[in-house]
Amino acid sequence: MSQSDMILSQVVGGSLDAIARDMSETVTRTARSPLFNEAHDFTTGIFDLSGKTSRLVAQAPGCTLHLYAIVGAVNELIDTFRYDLHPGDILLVNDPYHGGSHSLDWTIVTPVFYNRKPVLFPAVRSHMGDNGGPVAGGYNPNSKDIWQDGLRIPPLKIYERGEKREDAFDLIVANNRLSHWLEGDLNAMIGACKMAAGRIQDLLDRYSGEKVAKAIDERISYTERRVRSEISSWPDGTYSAATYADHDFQGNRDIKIQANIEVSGEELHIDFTGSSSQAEGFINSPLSNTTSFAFVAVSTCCDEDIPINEGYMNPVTVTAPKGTVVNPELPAPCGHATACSGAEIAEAVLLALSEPAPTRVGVNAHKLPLAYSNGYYEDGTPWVNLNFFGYTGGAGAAYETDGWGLYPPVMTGVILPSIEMNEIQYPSRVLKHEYCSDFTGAGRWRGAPGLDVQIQHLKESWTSVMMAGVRNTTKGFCGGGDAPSNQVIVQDSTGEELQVKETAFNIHMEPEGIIQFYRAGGGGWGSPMERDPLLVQKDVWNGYVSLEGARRDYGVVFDPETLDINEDATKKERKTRGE
Amino acid sequence: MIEAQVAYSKLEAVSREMGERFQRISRSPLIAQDRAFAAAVMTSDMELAAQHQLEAGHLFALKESVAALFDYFSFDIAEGDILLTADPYSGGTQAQTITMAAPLFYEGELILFPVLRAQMADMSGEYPGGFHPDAFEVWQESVRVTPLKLYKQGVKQRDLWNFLLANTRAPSVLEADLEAMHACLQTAQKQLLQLNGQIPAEKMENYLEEIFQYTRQQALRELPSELEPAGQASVSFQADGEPLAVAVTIQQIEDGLHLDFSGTSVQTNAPFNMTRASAKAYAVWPLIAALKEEPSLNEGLLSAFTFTLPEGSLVSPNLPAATAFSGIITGHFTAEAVMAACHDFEGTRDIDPVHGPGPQAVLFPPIGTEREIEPLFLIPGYPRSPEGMGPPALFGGRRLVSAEELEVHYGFRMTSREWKEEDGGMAVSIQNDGQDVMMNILMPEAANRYYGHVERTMENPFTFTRSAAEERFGTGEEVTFYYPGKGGAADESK
Repeated sequence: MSQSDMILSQVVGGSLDAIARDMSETVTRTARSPLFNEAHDFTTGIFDLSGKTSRLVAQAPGCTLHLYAIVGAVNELIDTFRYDLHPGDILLVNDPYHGGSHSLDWTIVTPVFYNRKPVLFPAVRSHMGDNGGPVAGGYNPNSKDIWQDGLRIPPLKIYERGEKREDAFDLIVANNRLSHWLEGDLNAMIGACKMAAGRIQDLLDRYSGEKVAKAIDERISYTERRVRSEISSWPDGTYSAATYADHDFQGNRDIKIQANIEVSGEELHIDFTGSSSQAEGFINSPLSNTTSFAFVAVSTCCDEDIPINEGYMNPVTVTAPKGTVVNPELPAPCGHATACSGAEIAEAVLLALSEPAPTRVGVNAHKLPLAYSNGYYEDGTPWVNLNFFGYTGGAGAAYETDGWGLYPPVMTGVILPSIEMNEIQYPSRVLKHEYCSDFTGAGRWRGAPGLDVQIQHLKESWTSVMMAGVRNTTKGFCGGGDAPSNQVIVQDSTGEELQVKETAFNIHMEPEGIIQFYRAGGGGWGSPMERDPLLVQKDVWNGYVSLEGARRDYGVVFDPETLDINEDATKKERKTRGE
Repeated sequence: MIEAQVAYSKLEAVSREMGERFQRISRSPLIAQDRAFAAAVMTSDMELAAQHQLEAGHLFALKESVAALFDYFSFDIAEGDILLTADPYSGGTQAQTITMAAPLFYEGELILFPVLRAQMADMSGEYPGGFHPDAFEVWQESVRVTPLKLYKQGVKQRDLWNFLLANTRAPSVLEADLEAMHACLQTAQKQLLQLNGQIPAEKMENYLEEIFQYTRQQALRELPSELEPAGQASVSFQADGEPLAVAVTIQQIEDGLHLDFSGTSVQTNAPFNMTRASAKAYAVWPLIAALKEEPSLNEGLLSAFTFTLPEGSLVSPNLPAATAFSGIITGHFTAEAVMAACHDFEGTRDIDPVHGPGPQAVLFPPIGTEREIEPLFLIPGYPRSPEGMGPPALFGGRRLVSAEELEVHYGFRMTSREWKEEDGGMAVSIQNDGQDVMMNILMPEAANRYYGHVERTMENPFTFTRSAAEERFGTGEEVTFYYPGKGGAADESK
C-alpha cells in the first residue's frame, strides 16, 4: 500500500469515526428519554455492504454490549429489504429473533447511495424506556415467552423514500407506555441517521465511492491484522470454562454457560456447546447477543487503540447449539439477555481465555442487582426509572490495574446519569451512593469497591427486582477472589423491608419508599497475598478495605492506631497463609 | 319504496354473503363456529348501509372503527387500499378484534364499500387469546393495532403484514383469517361494483335515505315512549371484589331515545372497561331485541339513539384502561341496566332480558412450551334464558361447543352436560384426557347474586368464584362449569 493510500485510509476512517461520534452527540442532545440524554444507553455505527452481508466499518464509543447485536440487526434489516431499498428509507427492528438481543433494544438504519447502489448505512441502536407488553419498562421477570417480554418489531420501514410512513410509525408509538418519550427518541435516532447520511454523501462525493471503499477495506484489514497478531501471541490449544447464572426467574437454578475456545494460529473459535438448554425464564440469549458478549470479552483482551470494526470479528467465529440458553428458539423469552445471561457469556469466555492469555483477561462484572420502578407523574403520565445508580458499578480487576470507576467494559460509553438531572426527571431521590468496605473481589489487583446505594421514590410506585450474582457471584481471575453477593432490600407499602433473594414482581411502595442496593464490586486478579501492602494501606486509608479485611483477605496487618503496616506481622501472616 | 326495498335487499345480500363466505373459509373456530364477526357495507359518508352480525359488540364498533380509519388516512386513500385497525381506542372494543375495510372507487369517487370485523385467535399480550383477568392496561391484553394500510394501491405491505404475524402466538390462523377477510372483501367489492352498474350511486343514495328513514321510524314506533319521568336504573357488579355500577337514564327526546350513563362508576384498573362503541352496542341491544320485527342494522336504526357517556367512566374509559371483559361481562350488566330502566316506564310493554353472563374459559398450552398455539375459547354451557330453554340473546350466534369436537380436536372429554333440577341451571363437566393445559377463567361476579362458578376436581381441587389467570387443568382432572337458571336476571343468591 502506498503512503498516500494509507493516509487516505486514515482520513476516511477518521471521518467515518467522526460521523459516528457526531451521531452519538446528536442522539444525546436531541432525545427525550434520560436513558439517552443522561445514561447514553445507545450505540451508533456505520456499516457497508460486502456481497450479501453488511460490515461494521466505524462505531462511536457507546454501549459496548451492543457491539455485535447491532451487526446482527443491521444484517437482518438489509437482508429483508435488499431489493426494496431507496434513498430516504429508514428501517427499524427490535426483534430478538431478527438479529436482536432483547426487545427493548431497537435498531434504526438508513441506506446511503452512490452510483445508484446502497453502499453505506449509518445505524443507531438504543435501549428504549418501554416496549409495551405486560410490564412498564419491559423487564418482566414473569415472562415465559417472547410476547410476555413485549412488542416484537420485525424489520419495518418507517420512512419510505424520505416520506414518513405515518401508520407504521404511529403503530409503534401506540404500543408504548412512554409514547411522550418514544416519539422524541425515535426522531433523535432518525435525525442522527439522516445527519450521518448527509455527511457520508459528502464524503463519497469528495473522495469517490471507490476510494472510500478501498479505504474502508484497508481500515478493516488493519484492525484484523492487529487482532490476529494478538491471538497469535496466545498458545494454540483448546481451553474450556463454565460459569452459571443463579436462576432463570422461573425457579430453575444454576443455568450453565460453557465456553470452549480453540486458539489456532491467529484464529479463534468460540463454541458454546455444553451450555444449558434454553431456559423457561427470560434469560435466553439470542445468537447476536451471545456473539456480542463473546466479542466484548475478546475485545477486552486486545489493545484498546484498535479501531472497532468488522476486522475484529473476522478472525473469530462463534457457534452455539440451537435450543440452548445461548441460542434459543422461538418463542423463548429473551428480555433479560443483555444482563443475564450476557454477563455469564462474557465471563465464561474470559475464564477460558485466562489460561492462554492470563495477563489480558479481567475487568469482569455485569451481574446486576437489577431493580426498576414505575409510577405516575401528577398529570397521570407514567414514568419508568431503571434505578441506574443502584447497580452501576463493580468493574473487575485486570493485570496491573485495580477495577476502576463504575461501569464495567460491557457498558463502556454508558455513563452514570447526573443525580441532579435524575431528581428533576423522576420523582426520586438518591439518598446514598457510596463505596463500601470489603465488598469486592480481593486480588493482587482488586475489583472496584462495591456500592451502598439508597434510592427513594417520592410517589407511590411499583418495583420489580431481578437479582443476579448472589449465589454464583462474579468471578475473579488467575487466583483473584470472586466478588461478594449482591443484595437488594425493598421497603414495601406496609413499611416492611423485603430482602429479595431471587426476584420480586411489582412490589407496591408507598410514597418515600426506599430501595437499598448493595452492589458488589468486581472480581480480583491474581492472589491477594501478592498485593503490594502499600496498596492495601491506601485502600484502608480510603475505607475500601477494613483493618479486619486487610488481614483476612490480604494478610496485611496494621497498627490500628496509626494505620501503619506492621511488616513483621504481615510477613508472618502471609507466610502462614502460604504466600 | 318498493324499488328502494329491492335495491336495499341486494345490498343486505352482499353484506350477508360476505359474512357467510367469511365464516366458511375462515380457519379460526371463533369465526367458523362462534361467528364472532360482522360484515357490513358502508357509504362514502361513513354511514352504515347494512350490517350482518350475530354478536352485539360489533354494532357501533364496526362503523366507528371505519370512521377512525378514514379520519386517520383522510385524503390518502386510493383504489386497492385495504385499511385495518384493532384498537379499543380507535373506535374498537377489544384489542384482538380486527376491522378491515376495503374502500371502493368508481370513476375516482368513493362509493359503497365492504367492511369485515372479527375476533382473532391471538394478538400477543400477556396471555393467549387476549382475555387477561388481571390486566389494568390495554398493552397487557393485546398489541394495539392502530390504523394501518395493509395493502397500498393493491400492493401488500409485507413488513406490516409480518409485524402482525410476529405479534401473535397463532400466526398460521391469523394469517389465514387475514387472507380470508381480504378475499371476502375483494369479492364483495366486485358485487358492489356490479350493483353500482345496475343502480347508479346517486339513485342508491336516495334509496338508502328512504330505507334509513323507514328503519328509524320502525324503531321509534316500537321503542319505549311516553317517558315521563325518565326511566332510571343502576346495576351493580364486581371486579375481583371491587364494586362497580352501570347507571343509565333513558329519556325520550324529540326524535329518538337518549341514554345517559352519568352516575356510572369511574374506569377501573381491571379489564371491565367498555369503549364508547361497546357501551352503545350493549345499551341498545335489548331495545333492538324488543322490536317485533327484526330491523335492518343500518344508519337509520343507529340514529334513533343518542348517548351521554361520561369520559373517564366505565363506559368511556381513557387510554390505557383495559377493555377485554367489556363484552363478555360488563356488556351484560349494561344491557340489564337498560332493561331495568325501561321497566320504569308505565304503559310501555316490558323489555325482555337479553343478558345473562356466565363462566367461560380460554385454554392454552403452558406458555412458552410451543412455538405456535391455538387458544380454545371455551363456553361449554349457558345460563338459561328466562324466556325459554336457549341461551340469552347476548350469547350471540355462538354454537355451543360439541362434545365430539372437544374430544377429537382438543383431547377433552365432556362427561356430562345437563340441566340441574334444583335451579334449572346447567352443569357441564369436562375431563382432560390430553396434556396439561392452562386456563384463564372469566367469571362475572356481583354481591348477593350468583352467576355460576367453576370447579376443578381431582389433583388440585378448587372452586373458582372469581376470574383467575393461568390455572392449571392437568391431565386426568375434571373441570365443571355451573350456570344459573334464568340467566343473570335472577336475583337469587348462593
